[in-house]
Amino acid sequence: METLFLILFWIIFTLGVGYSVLKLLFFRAWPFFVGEALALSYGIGIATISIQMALMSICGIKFSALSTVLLFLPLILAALFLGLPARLRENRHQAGGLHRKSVLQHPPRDAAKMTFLEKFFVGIISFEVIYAFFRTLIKPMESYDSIAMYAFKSKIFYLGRMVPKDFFKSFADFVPHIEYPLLIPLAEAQFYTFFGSLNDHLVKIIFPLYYVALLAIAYSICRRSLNRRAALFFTFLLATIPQVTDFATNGYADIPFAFYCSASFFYLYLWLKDKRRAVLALSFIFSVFAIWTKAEGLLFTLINAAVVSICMVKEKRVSLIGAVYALVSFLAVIAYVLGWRAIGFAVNSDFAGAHVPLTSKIITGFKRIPAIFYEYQIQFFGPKKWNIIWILFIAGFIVGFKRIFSKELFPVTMAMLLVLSGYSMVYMLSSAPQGFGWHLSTSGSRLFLHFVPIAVLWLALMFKELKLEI
Amino acid sequence: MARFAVRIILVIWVIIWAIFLIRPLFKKDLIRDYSNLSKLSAEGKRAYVTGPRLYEFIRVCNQTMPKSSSYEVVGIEKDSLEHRRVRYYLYPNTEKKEPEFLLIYGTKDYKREGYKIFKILDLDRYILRRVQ
Repeated sequence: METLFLILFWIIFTLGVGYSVLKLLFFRAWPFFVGEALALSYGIGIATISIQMALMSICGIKFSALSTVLLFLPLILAALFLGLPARLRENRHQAGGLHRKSVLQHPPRDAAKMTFLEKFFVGIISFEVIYAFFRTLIKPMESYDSIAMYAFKSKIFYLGRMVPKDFFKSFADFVPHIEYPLLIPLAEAQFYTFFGSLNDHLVKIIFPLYYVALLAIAYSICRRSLNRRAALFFTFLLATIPQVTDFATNGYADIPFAFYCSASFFYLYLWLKDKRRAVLALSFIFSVFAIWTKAEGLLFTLINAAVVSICMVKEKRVSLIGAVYALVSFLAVIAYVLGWRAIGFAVNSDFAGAHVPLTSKIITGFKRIPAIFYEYQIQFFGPKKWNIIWILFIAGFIVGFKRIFSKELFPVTMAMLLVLSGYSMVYMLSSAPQGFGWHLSTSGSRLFLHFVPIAVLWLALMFKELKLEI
Repeated sequence: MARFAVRIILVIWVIIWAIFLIRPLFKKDLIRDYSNLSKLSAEGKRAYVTGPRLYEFIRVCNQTMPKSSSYEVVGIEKDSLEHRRVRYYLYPNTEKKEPEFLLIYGTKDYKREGYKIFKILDLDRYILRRVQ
């Protein structure tokens, strides 16, 4: 009973912090579904608290549930203070019919009874979610990265009640990939702090919650373009991809990362359609959280900046806020790289082969292209991990070739092409000590996981473009 | 026609989904694992996934070494999953060169100058302590 109470306390506090940030951003108009708001609040809450814990460590303040709550109290109160008048204002506007038509607004509530197919989708999604929680909680932390990279760091942080001052130097020989971003280790330390003990079993609940949050935002984004049945269909596809469900349960950072980089792109996409500033700010916040989760977030941040820039060039209309977004995203990446360099690290030690001349790296990179494509085809045509999602993606590309650069699909197509090129470049430049082949075979399927939600959105939009029905 | 094609895709998807959902339950013996794990305590589950022999050794090391000791593991491949688990479970004891303790796992009659037997679990699981 006490365990359940502590878990609930942690979840409610995390949601409260995330909701407050969301409310402060959107105090003028609230464009989210309930499930979507909860999903966003969860992701924002965990990341914000972990950043606060990092700042506390820099200031020499030890972690405790009380200090964490107290430090966030002003934020929560500000959100309540701003939220109340906003609600009154919203009601007044609605009464006067002042809301402008917006893609961000809730679609009209679908009061129609669910059809058999919709019930089927909801049933399977619910089954997958329950099964994910079961698979997560039946075992303690046990897989390689979950122990070596994340649980180990979180144990160090929790037992020291802070990130040790000399962590990056004195633990460098002891902790593998010490240069990796700290969101997940700090999220786990955060859970232990609220829980009051190092329960490396229940802490895994963090991961299926990210899975649920990912499904919720995927549904919300699809629902803004499609009817309920089609939106449920694409959420069902995402929920039942074996690789997605496997990584929702094993304590790796890839599903949280997929959540942040997908959210970052999804809300950027909504801004491109709707041009509301707060949505773009939300997209940038998620880019920062993606960087704070995995170094690959740097690539996604640059891709988002590139997508905005390319769309502005295509539309032949420069938007100041879009230009600022691209610039700030670029600066965030530079700041991270310089920050890491200042404490003596490459962004990822697998790319730290600075002694190799650039020309030699490029030549080696080109020689690797066949092997990279071979790995991609293994992923594309491997139903064991991906069902037929990539086959559908390729089929959609061929069947709907004339539409892949339509107004609706253009940003998503660009993002997909840039991600694939970006990850190919990553492999071309990799200098992992275990060898390029090892790096490719061990991480290829995980990298595909990062952008599979964006691929699902692409399929959903293509479905709409082709005027298909389910 | 288009709707029919989408529904065919859905049927194919569901069949593949069901196959790869059910197959590991038997092929990887997950049913037995789940059944065994569901009967165990949290500590029992850790032992189950780590391997009972290794987990017992880790527990003994934790109980017998003074807190924040330095150690080196002999007999477990460096950077293997087992090695990472040992490091994880033994922290705040830390692995160092020229440590205070040598943790010998799966190796009989291991000797190193300057170290003497500190604790014996069995013939191939024991701890040596530095004496100089």
